[in-house]
Amino acid sequence: MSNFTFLFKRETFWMVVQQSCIFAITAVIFKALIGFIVAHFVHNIPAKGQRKWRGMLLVPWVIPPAMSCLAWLWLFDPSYSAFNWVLALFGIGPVSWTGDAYWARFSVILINIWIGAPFFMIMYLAALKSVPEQLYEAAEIDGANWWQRMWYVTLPMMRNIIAITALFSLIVTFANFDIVRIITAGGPIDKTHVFATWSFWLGIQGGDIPLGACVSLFMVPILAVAATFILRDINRRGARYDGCRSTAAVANGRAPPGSDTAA
Amino acid sequence: MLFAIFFLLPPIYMVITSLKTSNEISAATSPWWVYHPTLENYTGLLTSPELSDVLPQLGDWSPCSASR
Repeated sequence: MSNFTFLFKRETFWMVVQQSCIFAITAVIFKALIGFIVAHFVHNIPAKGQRKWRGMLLVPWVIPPAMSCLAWLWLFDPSYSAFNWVLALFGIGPVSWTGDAYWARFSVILINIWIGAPFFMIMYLAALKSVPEQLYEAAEIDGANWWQRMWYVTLPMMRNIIAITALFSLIVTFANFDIVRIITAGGPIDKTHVFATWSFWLGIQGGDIPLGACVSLFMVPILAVAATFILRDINRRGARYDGCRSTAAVANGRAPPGSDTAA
Repeated sequence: MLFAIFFLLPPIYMVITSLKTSNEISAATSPWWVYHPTLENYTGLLTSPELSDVLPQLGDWSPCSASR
């Protein structure tokens, strides 16, 4: 246990915990938000052009992260940054994308959003396609506006997909390694380290494998708590949905689906 | 459209950079435009001995088996 007590006393460890939480939560929220918006846009495109857009928007997710991070590294390059060149056109001074702690955090989160948003988009698009059109027609007959249709039809129908996608993405984002490793290598002054990169730095580069293992193990309880809450919520909703179906079936004089008499 | 630009910007920049020479990359011109496009990076890659070492590792495919 001495490795754990040693870690708990280190200021860097708590900084890594904080940075990992900020990194994962911010990235997942924005990925979900962008994925949701883009999925709606793509869903509303006529079927003929939809495949082309779907393919184009999936590009970031298809390219190996090591390669796309290299492109981002060029875009953020301190000397030849293409972003700084554009900013200079508007009279905005050069931004130290990877040299300043704040901007370095922003950069790694932005890249994570860029890579992960297409996954959310494709999952949400699948969920949107599975919402029965009759529900929208019924809501429209009831006089529901766009916002009410979204709030009372689309979101409840997509809730499970949203929760599962968020959980998967949270796990993957928490354990992210390549983006931080390639873009900032944890710097400046360890400000962008996440669990995986700090664990690698301590265990492999520093040669202290037990300490590195302790850091990576610390992810487990955090992810277990998140997974428990999300999965419990999905199960609870599933049970409530089954209950409603059974009640409706009994009220209609039919055996509830899945019961012995129904078989 | 905005999202499409956001999603496609780095790959497009990668393509633009691949068509430049090292001198053009370090020149003080627009990084978003290729003034003297060249395929020398691609020809250099396809003729490099490292590539023929790497390709067989990707599977059974190799330049020799493909030509058969």
